[in-house]
Amino acid sequence: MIIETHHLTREFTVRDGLRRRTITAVDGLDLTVAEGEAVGYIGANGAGKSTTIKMLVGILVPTSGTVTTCGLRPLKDRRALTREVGVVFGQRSQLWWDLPVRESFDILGAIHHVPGPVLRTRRDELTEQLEMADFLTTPAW
Amino acid sequence: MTWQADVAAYRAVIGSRMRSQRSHRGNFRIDLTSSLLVGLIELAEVWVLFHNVPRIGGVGFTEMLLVFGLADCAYSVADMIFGHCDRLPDFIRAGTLDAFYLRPQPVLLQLITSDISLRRLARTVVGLVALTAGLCLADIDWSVAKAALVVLAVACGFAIFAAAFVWAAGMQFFLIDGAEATNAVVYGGRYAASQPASVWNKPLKVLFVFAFPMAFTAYLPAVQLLGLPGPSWLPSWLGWCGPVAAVWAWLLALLTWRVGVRHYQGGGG
Repeated sequence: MIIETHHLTREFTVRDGLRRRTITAVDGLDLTVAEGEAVGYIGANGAGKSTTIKMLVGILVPTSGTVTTCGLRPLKDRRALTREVGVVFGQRSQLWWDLPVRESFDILGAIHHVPGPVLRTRRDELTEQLEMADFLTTPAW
Repeated sequence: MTWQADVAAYRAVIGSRMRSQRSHRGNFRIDLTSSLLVGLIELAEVWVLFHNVPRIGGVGFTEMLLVFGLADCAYSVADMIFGHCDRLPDFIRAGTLDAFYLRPQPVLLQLITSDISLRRLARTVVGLVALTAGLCLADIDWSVAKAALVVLAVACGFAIFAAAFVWAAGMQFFLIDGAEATNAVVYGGRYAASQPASVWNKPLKVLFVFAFPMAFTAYLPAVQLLGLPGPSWLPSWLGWCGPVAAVWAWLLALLTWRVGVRHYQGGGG
């Protein structure tokens, strides 16, 4: 299994004026995803989709339950896991706002230890497929 | 091989931050100038004070230049490298912190190396001038040990102020708009560090000697350099204890950061 969760739960404490309330964002989720499987995970705003993803990749600590992703424990093995997964959050950028997009990719390549020739081949391939050539040299903002 | 690749990654980020600041030249010059002015005004404050009073807490103007110089050199370099850490809420809101979690490096190291404020170098220049003047004018009975103490004091002072920024970053996980609360320790601590600790009352001594060891960045080494008797609670041999204070400050900082990271509530969807 590439993703496996057992009774995965996450609660948040929120301040409501002077009172404190506990909100259960993810409630006892049991989920298995096999290698090669494509799964859609849908729900309304605030249903807990991002919270689940963040627990799968080690950003958030689960309140209870267990999770393994790619056979790794997201919290303990966060750094190893980041080499295996890619995550995109809505309206969140991996780019540096003041750099040309091309330079952001060079830095991300260094961060993820992608060798230079591999980085260039992959970038050129994606630039062509996504027709991004005109945007590559302009700053992200 | 992996550590070289890691160093290359940090260098790529910091290099891009430096190029970005230098490429906006006009802006950078204004930043440098204003940073220099702030440093000069704070130095002028010391001068005005001692223009009216010959000695405060057993320390005169030239000795005070020494204290100010030690504190400002150490602080300005720490501020240049670590100063953005207490703006952690901005990183959370922009989603940058979540991006740090998704990269194969320690989150704290990514935060530290995500920016560098070269304009703070102007402050370092003011600190160096004050320190040099203090070292030349004050009555110091020089020896190899005392020269080593100057270097040790600046190095430990840098480590202590850096730890204060990291501690402040860790606290932001718990506080809402918490920079105001941590400023009291970080910027208040910098101000306290450039004063003679002999004038502090007991609660201030507890706060800035034992909890956040700011007194070890400048005043205590200066007391040892000048061969002065230590004030109450602070024997002069404490001037050599900078490394102990620096280790304590980092323990506190890293523990706060560690607990903070586990307490993180996520930056929204």
